[in-house]
Amino acid sequence: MPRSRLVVAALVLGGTMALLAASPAAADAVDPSGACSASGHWQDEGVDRASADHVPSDLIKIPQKDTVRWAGNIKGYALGAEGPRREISGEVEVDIAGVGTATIDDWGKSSVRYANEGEHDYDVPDVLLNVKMRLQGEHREAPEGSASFTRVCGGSVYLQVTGGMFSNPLTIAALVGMLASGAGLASAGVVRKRWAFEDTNPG
Amino acid sequence: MKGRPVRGGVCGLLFGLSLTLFLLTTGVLPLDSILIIVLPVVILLAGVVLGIAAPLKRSRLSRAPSAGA
Repeated sequence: MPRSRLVVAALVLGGTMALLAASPAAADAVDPSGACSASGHWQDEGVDRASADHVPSDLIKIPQKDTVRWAGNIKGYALGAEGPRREISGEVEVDIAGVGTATIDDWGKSSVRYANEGEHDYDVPDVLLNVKMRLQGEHREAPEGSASFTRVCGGSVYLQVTGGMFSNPLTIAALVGMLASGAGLASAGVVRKRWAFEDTNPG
Repeated sequence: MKGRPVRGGVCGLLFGLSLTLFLLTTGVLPLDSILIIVLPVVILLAGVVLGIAAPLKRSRLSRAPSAGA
């Protein structure tokens, strides 16, 4: 079944979903502005978020666990709208240190849908709490049967799953590691003991 | 060479990795920051330099007894 998650829409993050995309508004997480749009309603949190309300440098804080009702579309198409069949391709990734990416979700094959919606439950593992991640995505299309894809839209935004200061177990591990290695580091800077002959042979 | 540069390098790397992990999990450093790579390497080198320079003196209790004592 072709995945018609058009646009830079629902982002699955280790079982989580977030949003990316665009809108015709001035603020836009998507490039080119207005080419695509996405929105979501976090049901337990009771918050609506839309790509139109954000720019790429924005930090979106979401709860660790929730259900998101999401929708995404390409400019000019309403939810449920269909159009000529074409090849689609795209992915959502997390940028790692600016030198690599980890793909969270991708899509491809062909589709007649130009807008989509759905509901997604997510529960982020504790080890990702408080980590500030840059999510980026891109959607591409090509004429049916062709492999010459052109970029329709792309976007990015920072995402952080909120939690307490020490709710991420890796924070405690990091503190312990800092204390232990810090002690070793300090001892490395101490002048090495060099016993003189007289020290070990008194008299 | 007065200190322990190898120990300084190893502990510097571990300290840098731990510090980077702490900054990541507290949201201070974003995951897309190049500092994730730079910080451990810089602290590793600092550890080696610390081990070579050995600017810290031994405590009096750990010093060897003087010949005249």
